[in-house]
Amino acid sequence: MRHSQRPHALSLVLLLLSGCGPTVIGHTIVNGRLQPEHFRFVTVVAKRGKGAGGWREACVHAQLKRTTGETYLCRFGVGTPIENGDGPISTPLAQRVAAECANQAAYSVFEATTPQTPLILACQNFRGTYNMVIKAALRGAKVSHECDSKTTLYEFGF
Amino acid sequence: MSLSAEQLQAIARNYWPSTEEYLFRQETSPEHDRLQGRWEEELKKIDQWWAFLDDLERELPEYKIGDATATPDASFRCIAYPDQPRLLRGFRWVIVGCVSILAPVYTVYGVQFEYRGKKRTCAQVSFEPLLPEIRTPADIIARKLEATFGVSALPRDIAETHVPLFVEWKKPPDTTLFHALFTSEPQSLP
Repeated sequence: MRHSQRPHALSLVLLLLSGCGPTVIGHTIVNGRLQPEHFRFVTVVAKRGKGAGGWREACVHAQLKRTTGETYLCRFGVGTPIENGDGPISTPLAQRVAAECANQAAYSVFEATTPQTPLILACQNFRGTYNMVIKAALRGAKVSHECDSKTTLYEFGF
Repeated sequence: MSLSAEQLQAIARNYWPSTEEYLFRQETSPEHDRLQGRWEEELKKIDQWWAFLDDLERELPEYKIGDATATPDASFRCIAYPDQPRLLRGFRWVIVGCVSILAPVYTVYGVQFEYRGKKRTCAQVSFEPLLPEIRTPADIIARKLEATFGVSALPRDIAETHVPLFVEWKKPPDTTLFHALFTSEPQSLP
C-alpha cells in the first residue's frame, strides 16, 4: 500500500463552531474536536435511590468526508451509569469524559488511517477504540453501535 | 417449561441482526427497533426491579447491591459487591445476576477484578461451576430471581451455543446465546 506524501484530506468534521483550527495527524486532517456540550445525555434507565446504577446515553452522528466526495455517517451511542462504584457521575462529568475519550480515540485511529482506508472501517475502528478508552476512564461506561431511541441526536459535519 | 437452544435462537433473531448490512446502509435495523420496543415495555416495570434489589440487599447484608442495567444489553443486571474495606492492590470478586428481557431465563456469574488503587486493571469472568467463595451469594441471587420473576436458569451448555448474530461487540463466530439474551460485555460493570 503506498502512502501519500502529503496528509490526505480525510476530514472528520467534529466541530460545527469555528475557532478550532485543523490538526494534522499522520495522513489525516482532523477539523476540530468534540466538546462536552456535543454529548446531550438523557436518562434512559432511572437510578434506584441508593447504590450504583442508572443509565444515561448520548447519540452522535459524525460525518466522515474525503476530498474525493466519499462520505460515511459514523454513528455511535455513548452511555454511562448515573452512579458507579466510585460514586455519582454528574452529567457535566459524563460529558467531559465522553468528549475527552472520543478525541483521544479519534486521534489514535486517524493516526493510522491512510487514503485507502475505507471510511466504514475508520468508523468501526474509532467506535472500538472509543469503547476501550472510555471504559478505562469511567467504570461501566460503554460505546454502542446504535443509539437508544430516547436520545437526542447530535450531528456533525452537515 | 424450558426453551431449547433452537427456540431461544429463533427468539434472539428478532432482536439482533444477522448481517452488517445496516451498518453499510447507515440505517437502524428493524431488530434494534424491536429491542428498543422491549426495553420500553420492560422499563415501565422498573419499580418491580428496584423492589427485587431492595429484597436482595436484605438477604445479602454483607454485600452492597448495585444495578448494572443498560439498554445496549438485553437484560436487567444486578451486582453484589462484597462490603469490604478497599485494598490498595488486590483481587475482588463481584457476583452478577441477569434476567433477560427477551426470554424467561436468567443467569448468575462472577467477575474477578484486579485493582491497583481505585483502578480496575483486569477482569476475569467466571461462569458455572462457580468457585466456592462466591457460590453462596450466587445461589441466593439465583433463588431470588426465580421466585420474583418466575424465570429459569439458562443452562451453561445452551448459553454457550453459537448464534450467527451481531450483538453489539460480538460478531459471528464468537456470538453466543449468552451475549444475545443477556449482555455482550459481561465484565462491563459500574
